[in-house]
Amino acid sequence: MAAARLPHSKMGKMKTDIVIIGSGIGGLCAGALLAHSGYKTIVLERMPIAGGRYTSVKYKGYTVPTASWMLLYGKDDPVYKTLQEVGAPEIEMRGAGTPMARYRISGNIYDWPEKGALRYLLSVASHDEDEVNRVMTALGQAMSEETPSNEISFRDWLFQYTRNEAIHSIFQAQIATWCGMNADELPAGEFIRALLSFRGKSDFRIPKNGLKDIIDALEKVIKENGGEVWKLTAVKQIVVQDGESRSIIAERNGNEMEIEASVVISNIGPKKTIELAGVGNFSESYLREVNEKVRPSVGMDYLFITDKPLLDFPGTLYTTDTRRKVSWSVPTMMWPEHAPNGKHLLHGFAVPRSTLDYDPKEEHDIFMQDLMDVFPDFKKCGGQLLLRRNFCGEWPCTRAWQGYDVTQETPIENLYNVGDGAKPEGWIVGSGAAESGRIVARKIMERIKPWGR
Amino acid sequence: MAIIVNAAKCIGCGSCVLLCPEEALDVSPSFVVEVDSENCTECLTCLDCCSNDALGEST
Repeated sequence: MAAARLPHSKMGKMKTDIVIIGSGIGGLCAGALLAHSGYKTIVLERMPIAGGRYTSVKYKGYTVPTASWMLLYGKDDPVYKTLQEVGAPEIEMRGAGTPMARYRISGNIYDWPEKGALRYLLSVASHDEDEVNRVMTALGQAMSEETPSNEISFRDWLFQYTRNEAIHSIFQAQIATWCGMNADELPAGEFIRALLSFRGKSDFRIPKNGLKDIIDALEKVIKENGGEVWKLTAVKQIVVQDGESRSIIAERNGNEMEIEASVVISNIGPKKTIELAGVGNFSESYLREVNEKVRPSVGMDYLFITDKPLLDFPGTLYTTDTRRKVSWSVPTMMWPEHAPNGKHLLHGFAVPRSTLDYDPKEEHDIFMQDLMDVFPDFKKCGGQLLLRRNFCGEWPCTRAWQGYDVTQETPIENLYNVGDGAKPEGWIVGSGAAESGRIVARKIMERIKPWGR
Repeated sequence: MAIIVNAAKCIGCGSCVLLCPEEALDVSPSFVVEVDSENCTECLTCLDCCSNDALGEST
């Protein structure tokens, strides 16, 4: 069924190759690749800044991410690869070095060694080599022989090999930090695929001014190649005729305009894509799939100011023995410029016991207890709250739980989804969103030539 | 005129807090945005930042 065009005879009209709705990292990666390949690309962003949940801003003198903190896969990261492919200048980034992480297990702190890290951590958690061998063998087989089903959660899969809660807590801490989920919510197969995509590639990097440096670079590539990135521009409708997307209707500076486009890429999540294109243009089965699968992952995110760094290394401390399994870092150990002189940041992130049903106030109280437990000198070190946030709903950790993403193609021809509701299997958070943008850019280049060529 | 927060819709994601040019917003322990009316200039930037349609103007 075709959606009716809006009845505006005096509406401004434009024509372009590509319209991208939303300037998150998936949209901007797709946009930069397409613009660099000669496609006239217009990116429309509702907010005053580009980047969505993958950028950073200055807030009270501190560099604060809008949600995502870092590149996860170093030079193998889809974001880094995109920057290279579009000829963006090298961005200054720093990593944690060694140790990349520490784990607090049953009150003791252990460094993540460069080799044999998981076996080492399981050993100190278990003190039972038979149990460690059982888990490591099962993981090895799952990674090299038969990937577990997505019908079973990772926690249930692991229960087949161990009931040791200290071991379960190590995995729970990783899953909470990197997926915004719990081990009993994450499909086992998807956890294994994520481990495989990380193998030999985990190299966390933060740019000098936070992820804004990356967003600025991608935006510059789009503009230098004849494209546009318009902020404060809200898309009201994706116009669909005969099963094909034809144009979008947007509002900018109080004026409505219609932009005809060969392809529309939506970076605003599969549910909003349906809303803009009109429910009637989608099959019952697709609507059911999106409704059942796409639910946001969540997290309680905290930034504190301190007079001294509360960790003595720039990596991540995972506390597996706290009420919630929390990840902590001091970004100012990596980049002192992220705080005013003499001040430091402490970042903490935790996931509620259930991402579907939780009381944010109760989670806040639990988080503050964990904070005081891990950092008893917090107040003596001048500790104070800079910002607390609840990533959920329309501003989530990811729009779809890991393993529950929809495909980038939609039932409407020339309408694609990118972003963290359409991540490819095994790719997590912002890096997964970026990879979805790269996949869509490749598909478009294979199918459609730039307008006028 | 003043900025009003619909507590039932606000999730406390903090995006309006970060982008408020006057730093006049904060997130409460219940994860609902609070407006400091002393510093708010009613520039409406926060309305453009909200993904949940939780902010509005009172007349």
